[in-house]
Amino acid sequence: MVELRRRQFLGGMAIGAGALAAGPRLRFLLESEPAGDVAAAATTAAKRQVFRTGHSNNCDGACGHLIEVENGHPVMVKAAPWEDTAISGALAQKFNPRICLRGLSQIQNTYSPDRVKYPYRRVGERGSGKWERISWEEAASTIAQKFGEIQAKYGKPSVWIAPYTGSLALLEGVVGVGFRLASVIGASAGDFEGDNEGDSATPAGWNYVLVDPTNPDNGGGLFDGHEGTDFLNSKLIVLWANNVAETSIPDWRTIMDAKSKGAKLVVVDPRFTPTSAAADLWLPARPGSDTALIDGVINYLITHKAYDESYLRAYTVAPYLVHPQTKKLLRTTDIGLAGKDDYVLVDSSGQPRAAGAADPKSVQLLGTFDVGGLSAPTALQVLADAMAKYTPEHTAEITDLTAQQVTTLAALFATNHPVGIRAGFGLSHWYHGDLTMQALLTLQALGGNIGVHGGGVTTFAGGLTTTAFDLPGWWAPEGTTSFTVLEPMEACDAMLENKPYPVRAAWFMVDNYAQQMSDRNKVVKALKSLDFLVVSDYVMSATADLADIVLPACTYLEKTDLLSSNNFYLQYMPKVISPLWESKSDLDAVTLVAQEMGFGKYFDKTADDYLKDILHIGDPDADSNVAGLTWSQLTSGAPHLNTPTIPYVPFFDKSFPTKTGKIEFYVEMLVPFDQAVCDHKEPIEASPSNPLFGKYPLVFLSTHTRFRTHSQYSNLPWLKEINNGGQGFLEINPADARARGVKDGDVVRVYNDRGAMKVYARLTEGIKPGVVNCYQGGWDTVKVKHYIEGHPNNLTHQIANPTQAVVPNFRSNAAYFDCLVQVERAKG
Amino acid sequence: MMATAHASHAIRSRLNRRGLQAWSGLLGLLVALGFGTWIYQLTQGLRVTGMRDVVSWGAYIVTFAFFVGLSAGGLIVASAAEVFGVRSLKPLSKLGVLTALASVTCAGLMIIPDLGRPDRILNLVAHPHWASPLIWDVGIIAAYFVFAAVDLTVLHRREKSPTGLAKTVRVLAYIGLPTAVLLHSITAWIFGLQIARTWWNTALMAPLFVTSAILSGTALVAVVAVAAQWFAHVRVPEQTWRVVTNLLVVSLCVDLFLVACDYITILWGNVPRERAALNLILPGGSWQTVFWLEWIVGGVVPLVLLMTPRFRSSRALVAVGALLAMVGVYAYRIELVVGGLVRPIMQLPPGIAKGTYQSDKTSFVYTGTYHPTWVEISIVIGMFALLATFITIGYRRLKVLSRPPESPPAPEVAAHVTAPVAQEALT
Amino acid sequence: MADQKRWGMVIDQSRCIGCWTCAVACKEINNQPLGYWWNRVLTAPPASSAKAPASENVDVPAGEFPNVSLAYQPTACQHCQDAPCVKVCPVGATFRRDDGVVLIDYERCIGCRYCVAACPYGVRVFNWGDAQHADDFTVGYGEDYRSDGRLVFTPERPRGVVEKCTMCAELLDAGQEPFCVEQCPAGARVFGDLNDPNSEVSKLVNEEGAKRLLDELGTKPDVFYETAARRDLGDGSTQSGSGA
Repeated sequence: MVELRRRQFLGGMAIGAGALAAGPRLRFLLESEPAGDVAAAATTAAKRQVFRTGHSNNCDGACGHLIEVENGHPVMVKAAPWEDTAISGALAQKFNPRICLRGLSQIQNTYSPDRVKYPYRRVGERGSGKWERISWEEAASTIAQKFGEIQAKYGKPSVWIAPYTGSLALLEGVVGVGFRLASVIGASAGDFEGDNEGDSATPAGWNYVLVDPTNPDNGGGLFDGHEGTDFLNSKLIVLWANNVAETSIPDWRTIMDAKSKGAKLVVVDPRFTPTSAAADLWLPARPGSDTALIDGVINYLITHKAYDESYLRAYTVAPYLVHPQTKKLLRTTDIGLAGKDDYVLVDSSGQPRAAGAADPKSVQLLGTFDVGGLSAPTALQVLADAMAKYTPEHTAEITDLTAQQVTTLAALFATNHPVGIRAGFGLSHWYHGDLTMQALLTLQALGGNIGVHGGGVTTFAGGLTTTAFDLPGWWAPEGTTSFTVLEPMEACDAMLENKPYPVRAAWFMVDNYAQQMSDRNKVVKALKSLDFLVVSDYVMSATADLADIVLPACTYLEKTDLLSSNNFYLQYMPKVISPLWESKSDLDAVTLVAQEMGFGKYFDKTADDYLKDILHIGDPDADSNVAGLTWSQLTSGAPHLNTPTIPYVPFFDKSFPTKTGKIEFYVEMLVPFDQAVCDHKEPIEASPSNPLFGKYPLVFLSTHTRFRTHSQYSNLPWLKEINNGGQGFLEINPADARARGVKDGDVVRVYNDRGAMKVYARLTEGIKPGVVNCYQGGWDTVKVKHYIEGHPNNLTHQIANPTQAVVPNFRSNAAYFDCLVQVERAKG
Repeated sequence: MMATAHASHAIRSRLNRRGLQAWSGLLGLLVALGFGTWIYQLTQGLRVTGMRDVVSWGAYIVTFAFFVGLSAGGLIVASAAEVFGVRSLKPLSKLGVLTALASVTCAGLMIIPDLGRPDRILNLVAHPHWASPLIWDVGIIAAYFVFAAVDLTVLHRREKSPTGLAKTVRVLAYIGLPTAVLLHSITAWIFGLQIARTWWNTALMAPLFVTSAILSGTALVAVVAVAAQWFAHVRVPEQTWRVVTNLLVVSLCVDLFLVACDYITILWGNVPRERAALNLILPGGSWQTVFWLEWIVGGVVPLVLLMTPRFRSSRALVAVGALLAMVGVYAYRIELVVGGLVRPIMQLPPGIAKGTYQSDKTSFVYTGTYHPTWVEISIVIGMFALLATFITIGYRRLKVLSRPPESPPAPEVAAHVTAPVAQEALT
Repeated sequence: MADQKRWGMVIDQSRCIGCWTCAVACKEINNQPLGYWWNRVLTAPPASSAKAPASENVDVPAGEFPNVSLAYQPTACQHCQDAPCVKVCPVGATFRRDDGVVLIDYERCIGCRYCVAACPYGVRVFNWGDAQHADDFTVGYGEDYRSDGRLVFTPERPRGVVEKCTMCAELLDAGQEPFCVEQCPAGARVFGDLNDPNSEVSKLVNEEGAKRLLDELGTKPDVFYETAARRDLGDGSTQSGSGA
């Protein structure tokens, strides 16, 4: 019943529609005027209830929505205001209302004809689209029985629970109740917190340099970034493979405000996106050559001595000596230096010193020093040597840019401070995406741009909100052991080849694995091989098409939850409307199944009570970021966390959770992978050096469009009206099209050895010759086809980079963009 | 000789009587169909037409503009007989006024199915907004209707007392000619004053409308006269035919000349915004059919028919030429209305919201398309049938063409025609 | 009258990313039927170039890779001072208020569509049939709004009348800004009183040189467009961005 409070609070103040349009005004009314007056003013106008909620889809926006409800229907969605204060009451910041076209289409999404309305059991072949409606009780008991049978036969982890990033709310989706179920029943589960299909390469790289993933305190790997508003402090903003203007639309205003304040904007992208169009400098580097471009800049900074010497000495491993043979960081024991074991630096007189004993202000940064019979270079020297070959000319050759462009970029880095980099997950869609992130952080370390306002390399911000919570207790309640992790990249092999163990049943929640995972033909084969497949979704997705049991899930308006991702605010999500048809939240669905399996005692609380536990409400030992939070505060607005600095900056105290406590741009643990420094490596597939390039000469990107979020909202009427009627297309440069006799609007076949798709060609000079792009996420379901045939993921692969395994939380990654294809005019 | 002539006359009369019944039945059917279709359109809204945003005017407005042309033309023929003393046209005066009245009536009625809210048509009277050329047009159409009705009455009365009303007829002719010119100019200005449509926005619009009105109106009179001669055994004097044929030739030439002036101005200037519409109409464009209809079917062919002595001596061929000239004028109306709308002035992707929804298509259109639906075709045909009905009834009731005397034409008619004044007026 | 407002808007094309949020927001608050868009986002060649659009598709830049440029032009009713639509309306159903807002009286419009033909900006849509909606309930502002007794907003416009952007007159009259201005995630829309020389819109128009669309037609819109300035990186490699 507690969840009704919010509704009573706002619902009791139903006010005239005319007064509702302005968010700030509404807040003012709510907070400052006695409820009675407002209610009185409403008597002549239509009665509407107003709710503040967070839009929990995974577009990075984490927008706050104000929802007006009339006669039980949501009739208006608009941008909601944010608290100007932190939980503690301290003044935080002004945060602009956030919304975009996708958020504004949510009423349609909730009432979409594609919704799954009832539980269904498959009656035809897998994928035949034949269903029989069943009751929730029957669905739950079938699932319980099947899971029990399969676990008994193949072992407990043979049931794979896959709650995914379709929702970033707390109780469902990527950190949601599915993990709790997995722990309780001993199943395997994945992915969780950050390790996403194609989103873990750059996080892994982030951990290489800034975190010691082997330290249990770091929980297997962290990931965070600068709060979006921090770009207002940047002098130079570099959007590296990050099409903010389409994918993180509400963040655009900050970028533009920063530009208005004088910040320069650089965009690195092979496509001339709306983001590229706004840039002061647009660099269409060859896809997959990003590391080389960064290396070119690093080389420029080193050769021009345009790095921050004192920063490098104080906060990085730059002055640390490297063992010439083992390539590990040199220890005092290696050279017989007295004292307790420590790293080795060289003082101004050329004498080795234990790191703890050296004067950080005067240690040598560059050079190779004879110490204890070894000729040991500093880490910076190793870097300098490795980077020396990246002259502007050589860099230009690798990246398909001009030497002038390389030096222009480098000079911008040399002359501006702070420099803020936003690196999109596009960089993560590469086999060597981890290396690119490593390079970016190396570059930022040289400029003294890490742990400072206006600096950093940000891909995702808001990781802090999950570390401040009691997620371990939520995922594995007392008396259970945590689930076995099985990542999306590993699941197909488990299903098809029993590696590392058999998986015979799966339950997908807000996860469209059968369409959004790379190497889709393999995925579909794997899913079809399962003994039992359950899919919870609110629409009939390509994955639901293959299920044995489909369960109707709720949209964000129909359930209670909390959104705490992608920024540093807490957004309580009240149940705005009752679940439509027979849909249930994942929490309720999981509870039903758990009860059937005899584990009801772990699922005996309401959503609000779980939230209170997770957020440590009323707990005097709560994490400082949420300390003092009260329930009424949580449910009456969106407060900022008690971060040490606002906007939030990771490592603001320059204390890095690495082995050395410094920024380790020299990554000791990657010596076995020949990746101790960020020396460019060519992509595993999408490289001209690949023999396959002769057969498949086009790099195939499958980027995001503003008209949907992955595969969500792809079929909403409003969005399709302005997006080519929902019809997918392949962006191709006219030069490439001419060479293939392809004209604008022709049907083309895109293919490689893994698969093929058919789609309309769209000629544009906005894409680099040699590169083609097809927006991913259109539907290829039994009922809806947004491409003429297939889906971009019929072409992508599942080749994982073993280097990433050093970071357990980000151990495998789908390199969607590291993909070669050929394009031809489709016959007929 | 007399006997056979009489017998053939009797047969033709009998045939004509049955023919007239069939003709009336056909017209009645078409009018009923058109009216029924309009009722259907009322229940559905204009979505049953081929019009949408971008090409938001179609067959109705095309036909409206065409009817206005027919009406002005008829009256100009009638008035010219008096004002310029082209006495050889006098035999066609009454027919001219009749076609004018019928056409202007149909023009006025043609607006109604085009309205989204015909139930509010009286707002035109209740809330006239005087800045709008459409209101001027409503006014001039109403005035013209009244004028044509009065003129027809007067001409009809004159036949009973030929001398008494001569002055009135002359005065009416002097009013009628400028009224007709004004009617056409104002209709032209509905289009010509619009800055948003470069295709329309030319000072040539009014002269073009007047010329094409003379062409199509005269052509209608000619076609009706030949039909009357054929079916009703009416004989129109040779000299009258010659003048009518000459008038057709001259007005067709001037009409094509003016259109060509417009083309050349746009082609030479080569401003993309202005070329956009023309490119669609010129050969190779998606609307090239109207070009061929206007310039070949309605231009070159009728000119050959009307100017070659061998052909123009045949009244049937003159009628065919006149009919084709009317087709050409109708094609020009399509070219004008649709051409002005297909390419919006801001040629930017994705174009303009269509106002219609298909789940797998964008809701925008960059270059407009227009295909009239059966609803529009049915209503337009019904309206043409109504026009024919009015003319047929008027013809029957008012005896607009006098029965030929049994004897050959009186010599004084020929004398009139050879009068120098007539020649001057037409050269 | 000294305190007579004249509402105006400046759209900063250097900030606009063609995201269509304003268009969808407009669609929502005004409960526009499927297929109807009072506000649309055009892909425009940058103001300084005389180039024609490269394609009939949106988001396709002008020029040749890598020398390309791209800008967006959100386009709704321009609220012209000398509005062709107001001039041609035979029954005065389209009118301009003293505060500059051009509105349609949905109870007077006879549906002749002369205004649709007369508008150079293509922003008027006609109700060809009964409205088709994605949902079976009405979304958006939700109730009739009358200005001087004239019905200028109604959630379901009747069949057979023309409709268009009202600059959210119902919100303006309640002291709020148009919905598209409030929801624009780029902060690209500035709204205010053009009669007040100190308002931000006046400054953008008078000092920053914000331009009108199809200015040469003399329609004198109260909606203006601000285009981006080029920024020199100091090494001759200046990149032309949107609207440059």
